[in-house]
Amino acid sequence: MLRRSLPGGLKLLVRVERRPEVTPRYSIIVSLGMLLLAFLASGLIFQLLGFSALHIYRSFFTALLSPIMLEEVFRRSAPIILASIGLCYSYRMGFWNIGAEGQLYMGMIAATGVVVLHSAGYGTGQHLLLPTVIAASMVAGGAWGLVPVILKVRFGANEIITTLMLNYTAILLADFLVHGAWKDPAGYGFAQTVQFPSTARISIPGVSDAVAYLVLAMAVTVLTLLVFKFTVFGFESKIVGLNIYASRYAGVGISSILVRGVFISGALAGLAGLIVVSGLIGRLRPGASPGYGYHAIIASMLGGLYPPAVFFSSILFGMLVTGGDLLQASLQMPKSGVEIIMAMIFLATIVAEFVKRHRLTIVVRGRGVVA
Amino acid sequence: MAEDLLERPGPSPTSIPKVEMRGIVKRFPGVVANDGVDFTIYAGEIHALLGENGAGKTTLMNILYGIYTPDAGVIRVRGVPVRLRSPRDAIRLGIGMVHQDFRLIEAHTVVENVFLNYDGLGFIPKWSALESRLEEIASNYGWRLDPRARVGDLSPGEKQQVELLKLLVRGADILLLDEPTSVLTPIETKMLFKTMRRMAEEGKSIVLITHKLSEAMSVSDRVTLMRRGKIVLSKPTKEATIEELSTAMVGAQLIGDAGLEERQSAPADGAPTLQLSALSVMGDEGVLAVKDADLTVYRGEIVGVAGVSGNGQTELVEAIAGLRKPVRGRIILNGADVTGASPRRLMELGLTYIPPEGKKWGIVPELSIYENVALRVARYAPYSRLGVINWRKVAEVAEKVVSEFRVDTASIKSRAGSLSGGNVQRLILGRELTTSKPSLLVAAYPTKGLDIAASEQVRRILSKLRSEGVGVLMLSEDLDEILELSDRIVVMYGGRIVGVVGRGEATPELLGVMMSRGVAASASA
Ligand SMILES: Nc1ncnc2c1ncn2[C@@H]1O[C@H](COP(=O)(O)OP(=O)(O)OP(=O)(O)O)[C@@H](O)[C@H]1O
Ligand SMILES: [Mg+2]
Repeated sequence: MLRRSLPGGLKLLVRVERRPEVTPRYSIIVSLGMLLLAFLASGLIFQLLGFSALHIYRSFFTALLSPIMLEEVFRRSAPIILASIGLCYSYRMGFWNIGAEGQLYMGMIAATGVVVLHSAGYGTGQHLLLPTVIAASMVAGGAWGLVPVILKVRFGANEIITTLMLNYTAILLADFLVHGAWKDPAGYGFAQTVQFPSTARISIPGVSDAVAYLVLAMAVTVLTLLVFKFTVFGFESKIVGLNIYASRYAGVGISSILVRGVFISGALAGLAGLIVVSGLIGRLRPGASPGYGYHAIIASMLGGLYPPAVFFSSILFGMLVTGGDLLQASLQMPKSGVEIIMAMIFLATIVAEFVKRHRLTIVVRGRGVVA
Repeated sequence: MAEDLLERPGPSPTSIPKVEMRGIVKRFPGVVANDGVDFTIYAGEIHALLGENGAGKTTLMNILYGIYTPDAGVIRVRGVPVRLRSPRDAIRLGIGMVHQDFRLIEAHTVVENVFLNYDGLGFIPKWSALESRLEEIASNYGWRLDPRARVGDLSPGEKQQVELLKLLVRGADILLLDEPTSVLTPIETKMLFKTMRRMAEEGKSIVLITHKLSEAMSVSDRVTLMRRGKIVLSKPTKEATIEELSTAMVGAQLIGDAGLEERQSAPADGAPTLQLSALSVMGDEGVLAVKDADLTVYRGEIVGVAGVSGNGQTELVEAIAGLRKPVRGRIILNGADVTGASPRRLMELGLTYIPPEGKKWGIVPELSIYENVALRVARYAPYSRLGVINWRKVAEVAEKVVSEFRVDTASIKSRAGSLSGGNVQRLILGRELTTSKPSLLVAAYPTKGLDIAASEQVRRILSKLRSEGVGVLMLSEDLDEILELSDRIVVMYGGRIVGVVGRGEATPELLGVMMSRGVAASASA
């Protein structure tokens, strides 16, 4: 509680109480309000740094909404959507997986591995290449996610720490491979692998990549919504997140639900990795992901783990990532400017959670009045 | 604080009431929980608040404790109109509440729990001073409570004392106790009542919510009875009779209904459904809570487990339900060795289990009532096929549960957490008993928190199940209930089964001796 004395013996009191129930509508309003605040606060910081916030935002959004940039926004949003929808599976079970980045990297590594072998003349024919890279990236991402699950179920290791550590492991493994065994011999010494052949890319004939990715991301979002609403697995995963005692009592196989949920989570991050290497940059190289897996964490939280909302908050992050390059190019502002916005959104999401669950009242209290 | 009131011992209606609630209205979506309630508390009185499940008792007390704000009505404390916006306001005015379920941190010590969130603690608490302060208060009431004991190690009676200490150190002199006796054994209840009398003599006022009329009659100065959100009766206890109260409470509907009279004797040739041999179970503190228990439950009988709580009963039933792995011994269910089997396997083999702490184990408060029913059935046809849930079917059975067990709720879409204490228990019982066909029912405190009519109904269901050939193992703090229903009574003491008493031989006195001293009596298993 916060107390301030005002002149005249009045007291200003800010009280915080738990709110018994949160309606979905209220929750959306709070999230949007906080989002707005995040942009205002970032604007303030830009202003203090000597930039015109209004100018930045205006050129930022007008540029992003132009057809060409919009296409780029959607391309970049795709991996974030896939990873953040994946994280919904983890988070609804109360499994605090912050390892989407690592799982995404494992997806990239596995897909690249298949392509490297393929270019060396091993493995499948052209027509099987795409299914193979999809399967490889998803299995690799999923399996990477399972490591912390096993550590948790077996030894009680905290998943926040293990998933974070495994991110670095995966990123360093990718570095190791592109600098070494998988370095493209015809790449003029650059640390990068061979180019992905077009047969290893997800595409829909007749439409652009951006549309194809968006369709895929939408399909995953809708499917996830249906899984959450109508399947036994979706229901039980929610129970596991809400009340572990009741889950045990009701005979929910907690470990098996955890394994399945986190595997799906990691597999979708792995698929996101495939889109990055096969579509966005065409090959694996160090720093291939600018942190899509981390953006996905904030996006899934901001969307309240509700797939359609997560879909849109991921697109917002796609805009920010794309806009970062824009800031640098046209406004002479460092790219990291958008990171201020992202950080603000992250803070706003945390504050929003608090605001949703609590009621703030401000009371001015006179002398001698019993409240 | 109104010192003059503290000096005047005993209730005296002429003095300014400690608390006056006038015309209190509280609505929740679909229900009026309090509908123009007038409620008065005088200094030095024990005021029993009675009423069926969902009558609005807890809501009324939550309003006085600042948890809910009333939609209409005024509250005066010591004559001064007040607005209570949070428990903090209530505590400042000397009002304290002990909830239906304990709100203690089991891993912390008594002193840590008591002074948690305490205003005058300072940056670095002086624990030793605080400890001696606790000891002083505790000894004043004749409690033997070690301030440094871990709360998880305490018996329910002692936990209650910790809850009371929390209020006392904050200077509460209006104490609201919501069903404090529902978890206590008769002896612990007696202790609590002695404490309450003592407090009343000091001028404190106590509101006691209970479903046991005999308790209200024996300890209170005044009784108030609620029904459907309204006060239907309020008078000095001296002028009230049990008959009058029970009629007013349940209407004429159930009293004298001889459902239990026509009990069939147990089928003599029942096959065993549950066999425990030399079962040992670890408790939470890493010491054996159940030691070498041997027990057989036959189909068509009710076996009651009696014992002072904390003597291994909970751990015993948790082991049978698959929620605790035994360290030694075997559990056989309908001929299959199920030692260490998962709850799901046990369920599928014919076990139905009513957990002791319904709010913690039995429901997910955040979810709706029908989702809580799904908790038990979602995996099975016809409620799901190929992993896809048929929510219509779930809703149908949820409606059935709600109507047959008279769960008082606006709709099956309401959150289970919004149900009153007794209605949570009805939901759990209803779900378990409508959606399963058990051969063994393990019921821990099945009538806990239920009003008279609902307890009757549950007891009747238990004897009906028995006559249908179900084996029933029942825990209860209520000796009368155990004596009334059980064909055999098992007494536990110090984690051991110290005796099995047949229906004819059991008396409250005999059981009392066995429960408190662990003396083995004649075994008739
Ligand atoms: N937070 C809430 N939201 C919605 N409805 C509520 C809420 N709290 C209580 N109710 C409803 O108000 C009514 C009164 O509930 P209350 O808990 O006061 O009953 P009670 O008399 O304490 O019953 P019990 O003996 O079962 O504990 C019930 O119908 C209950 O469902
Ligand atoms: Mg209640």
